[in-house]
Amino acid sequence: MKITLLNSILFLDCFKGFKVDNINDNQEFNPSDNILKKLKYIIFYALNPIQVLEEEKFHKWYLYLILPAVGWMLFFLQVGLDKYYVFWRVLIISLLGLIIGYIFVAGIGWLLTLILNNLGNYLRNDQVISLIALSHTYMASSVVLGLIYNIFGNSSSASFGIAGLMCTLLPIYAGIRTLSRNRVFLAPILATLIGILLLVSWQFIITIVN
Amino acid sequence: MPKLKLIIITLVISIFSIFNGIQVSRIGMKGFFIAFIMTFFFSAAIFLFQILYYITTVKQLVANNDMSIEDYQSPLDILLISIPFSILMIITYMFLKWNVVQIYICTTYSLIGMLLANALGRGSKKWSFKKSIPFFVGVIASTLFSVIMEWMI
Repeated sequence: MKITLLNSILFLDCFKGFKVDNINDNQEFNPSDNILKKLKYIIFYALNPIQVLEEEKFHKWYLYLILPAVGWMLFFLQVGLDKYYVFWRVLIISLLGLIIGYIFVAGIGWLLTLILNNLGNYLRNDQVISLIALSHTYMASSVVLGLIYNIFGNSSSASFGIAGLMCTLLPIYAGIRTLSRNRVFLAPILATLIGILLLVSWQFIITIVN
Repeated sequence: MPKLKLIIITLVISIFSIFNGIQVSRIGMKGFFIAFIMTFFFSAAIFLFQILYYITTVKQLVANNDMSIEDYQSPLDILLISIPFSILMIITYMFLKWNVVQIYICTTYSLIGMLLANALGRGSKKWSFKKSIPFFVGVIASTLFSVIMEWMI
């Protein structure tokens, strides 16, 4: 049941062919149209994070970081519900997940930019942070499924969190691989580093609350 | 280089099998060797099938001009994503003490299947069942593996 639910997240990949039309400046301004187009952009980037590496424009990374922050908050909400039975502790761990999720993912993005630039793959901070932040779409979907699973009385925060982490690493791995075609082992090494940093930060939050 | 990649992938399968064996023997009803042998041969069979299917399909697609040779990706390069997964599994099991080895194994099957299917669909705009088979195999394999492991635990 748990594995079938986890596999269903991967079907999100079917939306990768989704295309967004360019906004035509000559069109008459319609607020609902504008919101719809913005929503299309957000869905497009969320399902296809590698796109941010291919575009020159500035990406609002500070807004995209809300996605991992919410994902982490939901994950730690599940951890709290599984581990602690006191309302305040559950609330504290969820809020810590929200705040540290935002800060840590930005920090990891900054570190990855530094490493990639030193290796000759010139990328801007906003591109790399946006890539890592948007890669959390799959993690967020995974933890939402985990919460639904939790409603039925099954505690499985670790399973859904880990599956979400692995899905998060996938677009990051694919992005680094596209950038460094002749360095085969760079993508696995950097994906491992990011994965370890994410796991360490999770442990850090659990240690604070304990 | 392909030999080195093949050795690394075999090593990753062995790591998955060893840790699954340890987890099953610690929290399950069966011994280490049954789980180890089961995981090793099951993973090897799934990966081998996916690689062979991928190579055969790529050959057909290139011969029918449905795929450009520039879009070709080595299946061994794709399978290298299992390196971070195996290292993260060791860290999670040994340092965080979470018994989620099987989640790592099952998700690896599905994700590798998805990457191989994605690589087969490169350059083509329409969906095809033939190109999606590695993904479906990955999903079926992970479900089957979890059912077997549930029986073992």
